[in-house]
Amino acid sequence: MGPIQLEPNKVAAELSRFGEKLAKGMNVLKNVPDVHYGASDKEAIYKEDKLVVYRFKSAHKVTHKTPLLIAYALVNRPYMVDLQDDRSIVKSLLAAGHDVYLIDWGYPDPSDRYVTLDDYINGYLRRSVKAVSKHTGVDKINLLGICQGGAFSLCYASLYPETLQNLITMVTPVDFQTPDNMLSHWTQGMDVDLFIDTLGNVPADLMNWCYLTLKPYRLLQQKYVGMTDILDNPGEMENFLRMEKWIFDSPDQAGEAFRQFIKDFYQGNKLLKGGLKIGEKAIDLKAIKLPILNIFAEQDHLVPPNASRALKGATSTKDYTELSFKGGHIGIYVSGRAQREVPPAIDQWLRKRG
Amino acid sequence: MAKAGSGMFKDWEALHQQWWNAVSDGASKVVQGDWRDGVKAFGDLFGGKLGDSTDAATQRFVGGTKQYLDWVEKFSGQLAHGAQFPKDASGWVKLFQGALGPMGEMKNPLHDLFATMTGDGARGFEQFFSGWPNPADWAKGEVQGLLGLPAFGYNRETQERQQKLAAAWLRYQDAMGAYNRLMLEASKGALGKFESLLAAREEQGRKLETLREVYDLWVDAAEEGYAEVSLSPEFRTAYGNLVNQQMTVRKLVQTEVERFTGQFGMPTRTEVDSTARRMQELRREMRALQERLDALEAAPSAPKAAKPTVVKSKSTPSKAPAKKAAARRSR
Repeated sequence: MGPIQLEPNKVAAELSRFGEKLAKGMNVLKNVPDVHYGASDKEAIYKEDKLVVYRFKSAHKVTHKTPLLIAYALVNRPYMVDLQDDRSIVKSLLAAGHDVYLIDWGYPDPSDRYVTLDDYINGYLRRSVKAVSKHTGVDKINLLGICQGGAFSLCYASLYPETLQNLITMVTPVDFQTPDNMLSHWTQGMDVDLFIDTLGNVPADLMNWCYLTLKPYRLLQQKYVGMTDILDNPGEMENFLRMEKWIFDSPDQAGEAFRQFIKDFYQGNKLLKGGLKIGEKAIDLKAIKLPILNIFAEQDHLVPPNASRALKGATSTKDYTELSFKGGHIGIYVSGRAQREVPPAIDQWLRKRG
Repeated sequence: MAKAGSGMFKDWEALHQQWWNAVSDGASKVVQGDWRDGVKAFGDLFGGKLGDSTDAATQRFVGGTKQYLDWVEKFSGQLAHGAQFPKDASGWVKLFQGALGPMGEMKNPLHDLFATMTGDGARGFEQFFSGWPNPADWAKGEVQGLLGLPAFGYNRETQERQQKLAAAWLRYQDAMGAYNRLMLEASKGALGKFESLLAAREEQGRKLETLREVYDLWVDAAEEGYAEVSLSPEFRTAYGNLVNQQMTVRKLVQTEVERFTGQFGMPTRTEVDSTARRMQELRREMRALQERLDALEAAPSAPKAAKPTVVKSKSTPSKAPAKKAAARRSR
């Protein structure tokens, strides 16, 4: 029979199970509550335009004197780091005694069309760090930048090193032109000026669709066929729906910031090669001397691991640590393995450095 | 090799009916009718759960599952109706290909995106061009040549703009065609990859024993084929060109819309952009002034004043030394 060995009775049983799943799944879906996200209570400590900086409340004693601020990407919502009770990096960090803050960049609308990277990094991010410092009464804080937020954090750290104690980058692109970077490959032939001049802000649907088309068979079809496997499991379905909600809960992208990000980071690869300016300030990764923990995912199709590994040697730090995670770009926040490995690694690394 | 009419095929034929009855039974508990209606009902329910913003996800669930079941029906149907059981990877790929249908076609994923890029309201973009002939017809009518004719008379400028738009539309269609050809290449490549993966498994003595395993391996192959094409220099050019040509058309349409709405005194995109630019400049100035004010107030001799941008919370620590502050920062 060659490589495929189908037996009628087994296939019949397989399809019978499929039919049963459909039937049971209907009842499950009827009773699955509307999905919510967020495992930890939080309070706003700073607001500016659409940006809010939150402090997570903890039931545990804060034992780390240096607070930790998380800067997420602009392209998705930051609650991925605190998605649900058993999938929350934040919750684990709080339990380890950290004082955790989070930047929510908000949803840009047409009035934010001219918000630039200068506004984001020299403005919002700088003032967010300042607000956390002020709130906690310390001069230096720890900064955890995720994905695009990691690239922002690197820029920030090169400009304002005196405000940071430690820097953690997570699934952060540094070399934007590794050969396996499909997203980068696709942007190289784009006339970004025409793109932004035409669209203004970049619609969230476009961003989402672009990500889905990186793996279209898997993300547009197989994932939903696989969903039938869990149709009769209320808990799993709730998790699935929560992830769907997060994936498609995307902000539009402020046009001018997007223009520069694609031109300078993706097309020019200036963060690594040099020549990047944020506003009037030149970015030099060699200006970063503080301790760095660089965490990346081995199966990341959005930020290939080599795009992150490029950070090694790109700065002047003498205290550089890498953590290679066996998983993907999303799994690094929400998988069971991530909960077991990532927060403890961050905690132990920070614990040694104050 | 087993043949139709043998005991094995009789089993397949009988069981084929049995399992489809099972699937249909399951589906009929969801809705009266066949399994396709059942899957659609899931989609309707799903949409209600996730809210309006995830209609696209709902469609993908329904579409993906339907395509999978269509393939299962055809693939297993071939076996049930006497197709010869292949003895090697190549034979299985041929049988597989015969059942693929829409599941195997890598339809241009950008087409739908461009149609709905800025929400359903933007469907007007597609409608705008819905009555236009396709490029092949245009070529037959030598319309391309007409677009190069000099404009003159009272409507000269209007005619030039329309010619420019029509020419851009033709370039966009060409770009779409080039992109579609690469998608077709990716689809064909997937079958070759599938055969290789099957052959590799055969060599390793690993058998696929369920339809899902066959499907999952095909998805692996399809992704490999797609990635190979998507990372090629040709794709990079085609992708960039498609996006650029689409934006060119969209921009020209925007210009026409602005001219039209402007005549009725309606605010235009240009005016809204201008306001947004001014607003952002004012925000920057305001923040800079606020920070200067904060710095002045923080100076030792400066009088104290309220800091409106910092939200006071119960847990806000006083200006105590860091260690003491950290110790107090628990809920």
